[in-house]
Amino acid sequence: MKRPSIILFGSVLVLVSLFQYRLIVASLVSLVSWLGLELGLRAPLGSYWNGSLFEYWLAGIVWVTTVLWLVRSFIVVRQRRSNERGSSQGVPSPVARVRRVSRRIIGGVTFVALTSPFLTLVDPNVQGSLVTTRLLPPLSTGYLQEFPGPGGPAHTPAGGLRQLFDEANDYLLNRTVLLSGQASEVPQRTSQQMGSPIRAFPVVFLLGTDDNARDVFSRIIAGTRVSLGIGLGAALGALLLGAAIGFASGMSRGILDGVLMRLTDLFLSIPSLFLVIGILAFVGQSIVTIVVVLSVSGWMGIARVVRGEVVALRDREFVLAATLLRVSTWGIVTRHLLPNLWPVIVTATVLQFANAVLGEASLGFLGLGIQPPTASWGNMMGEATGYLGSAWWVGVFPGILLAAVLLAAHSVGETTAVDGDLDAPADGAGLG
Amino acid sequence: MSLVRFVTRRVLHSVPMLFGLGTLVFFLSRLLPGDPVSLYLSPGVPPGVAEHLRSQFGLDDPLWEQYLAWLSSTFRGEWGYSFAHGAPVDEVLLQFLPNTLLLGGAALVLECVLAFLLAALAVRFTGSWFDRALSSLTLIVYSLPSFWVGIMLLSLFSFSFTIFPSSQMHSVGGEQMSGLAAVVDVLKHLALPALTVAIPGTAVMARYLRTSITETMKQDYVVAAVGMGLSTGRVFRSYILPNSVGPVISVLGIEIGVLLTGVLVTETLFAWPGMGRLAVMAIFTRDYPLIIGCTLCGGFLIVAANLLADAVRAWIDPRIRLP
Repeated sequence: MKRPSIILFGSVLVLVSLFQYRLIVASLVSLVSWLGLELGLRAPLGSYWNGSLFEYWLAGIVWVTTVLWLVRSFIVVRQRRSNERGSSQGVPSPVARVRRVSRRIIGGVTFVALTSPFLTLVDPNVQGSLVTTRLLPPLSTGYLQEFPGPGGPAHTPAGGLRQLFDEANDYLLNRTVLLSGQASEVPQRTSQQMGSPIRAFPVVFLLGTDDNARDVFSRIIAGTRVSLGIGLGAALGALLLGAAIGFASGMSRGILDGVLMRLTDLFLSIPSLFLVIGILAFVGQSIVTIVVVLSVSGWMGIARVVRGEVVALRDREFVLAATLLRVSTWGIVTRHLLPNLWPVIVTATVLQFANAVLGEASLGFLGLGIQPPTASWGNMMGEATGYLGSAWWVGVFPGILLAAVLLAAHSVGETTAVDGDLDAPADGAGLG
Repeated sequence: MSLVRFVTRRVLHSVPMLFGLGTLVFFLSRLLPGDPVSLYLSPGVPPGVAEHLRSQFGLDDPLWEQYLAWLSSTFRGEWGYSFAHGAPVDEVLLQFLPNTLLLGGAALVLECVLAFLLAALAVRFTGSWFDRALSSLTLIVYSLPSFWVGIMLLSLFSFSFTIFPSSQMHSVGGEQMSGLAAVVDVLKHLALPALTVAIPGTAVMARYLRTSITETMKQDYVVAAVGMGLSTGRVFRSYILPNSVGPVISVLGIEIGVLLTGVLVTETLFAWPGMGRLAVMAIFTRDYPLIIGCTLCGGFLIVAANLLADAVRAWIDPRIRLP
């Protein structure tokens, strides 16, 4: 990274850290004290495990790592600067520029997906006051109050690590956050219920609020994880399925090859969105089924590319030599073919990742994907169609992010293909 | 080989494809969890009734017998009965299919015309800012999800500036309109959805067409034609264009699949009464026969579209007809 981008990214990190320092500190304390408790071996291993804490721990680890990495690269760039002073740098070519931007988009979005609990203003499913917070345009101001969990810290202080652990978890999991469009409204409504707030301050709804008075910015951040996670899972599933079928088809000559390739043609002939919604209608919508269905409907491109390459490679001399040396088929595939196939496979998988993200978004848009209230880019856009005339911002911003990710994936896929001196696989397996 | 024989052979080739599609859909619908009978009966019904219904629908028969029965009834055109619409599935499909074909056809025409204009402009002004913008915008525009394009168009042209209607196919009371007025009304409703479906494909088509035209312009016969003193327009029409659309048409065959899925989503956004919206509604109402019917019909459309693309290509370029 260049110096201005380090400074920009770093200042964003510092700002968010200042704003969310309680959350970050609580996450780190929770992680460290959990490790201490488990390593203390007073109780059977894993007895303090709590699944809903994991996202905070992961976010904490990624956050600290990123800060350290930023500091390091700042120092490195500074040294390199002083070494290279005077040497002129050429203007980067457009392709290189697009590739760099694409990498940044993918890196940034991955970072957002991993650290989303710290980046969201509030829990993305928290509804604000429906009277004053509904459908506020972008950049309008509101008011946020944070309360301790119901009834405050109820557990008896156990002292030591255990108390630290409990208090951190209490903050992470049980606190309540209230949103409203006006400062005057919240205190009367809630002061009897929950005591005095931990903190209260004005906020800006960067991208406005939606029909249910939820912060659009927070929901987009939370949706990043859902959309990218499903895309990644489906791409990996398609990779496993496609590579297996491609290898089986390419290595065998004759009937099996014919049958598998006709099967591939068959799957390609079905409009994949029809297939996906057809299966989802029978199995129901959950993250797992959506990932599986998107994998099942998206392996064909990878299978074709892999088969093509295997057929091209299997008669080469080095494979013949390996066969004569009595290397097993498995050995030939893993040691002689796979290393040669990596560039093709990576390219096809990256493109399939874009297809899967788009497929998930299309499903969500139709109301057949991830079900509300969990946010994904697709279902946000789907919900937005109901009040497009009065609030354009709810649907437009998730779409911009989606298009950016698709663009980045397409161009990274294409440039990988160019790097590996290979043709980009062109197939009609795309959704949407 | 004559064109007729080529097309006949391609049609025969696609029969096993349709057969396989039907088989796939059948086994998916039977193998997936969820018993059709228990879905439609309330839990309070005595078990005997469920057993009776099961044997009546033939669900107790061995799978291959069910498969044969299903195949024969499908090929006879009996596609089951849609619960939500209270009509046979084929009637429902025939009622909605023309609207989808209208939207898809309009989008396709729009796509081709726009792509041709853009490509012609880019070739005419090779190296200009327009040419460079076209080639760099292609990837961006192609990455735009069609439903998001639809959302933008809707909020721009039908809410901010109320130029086009936002949904449905006819205005309220459109049935009473006569002749030209009714056609104009449908066209007005068609404009935004067709544009939504067409925009992502247009970028790709324009880029392919531009590359193909520039490639053709380097050929010796074009140089010869220019050397003979033919006018630029004549050279473009008779020499360059026929030779550069071939590769684009095969891309078009693939694009039709993408276009069709775009149509599905777009129909839902614009409440266009076509197959895509029908399929989505069928899922919400758990109308299984209709879901299977829609999947089959969609597969049929794609096979037919590829067939059409091949036929057009063979018509333009006789070399393809060679076996």
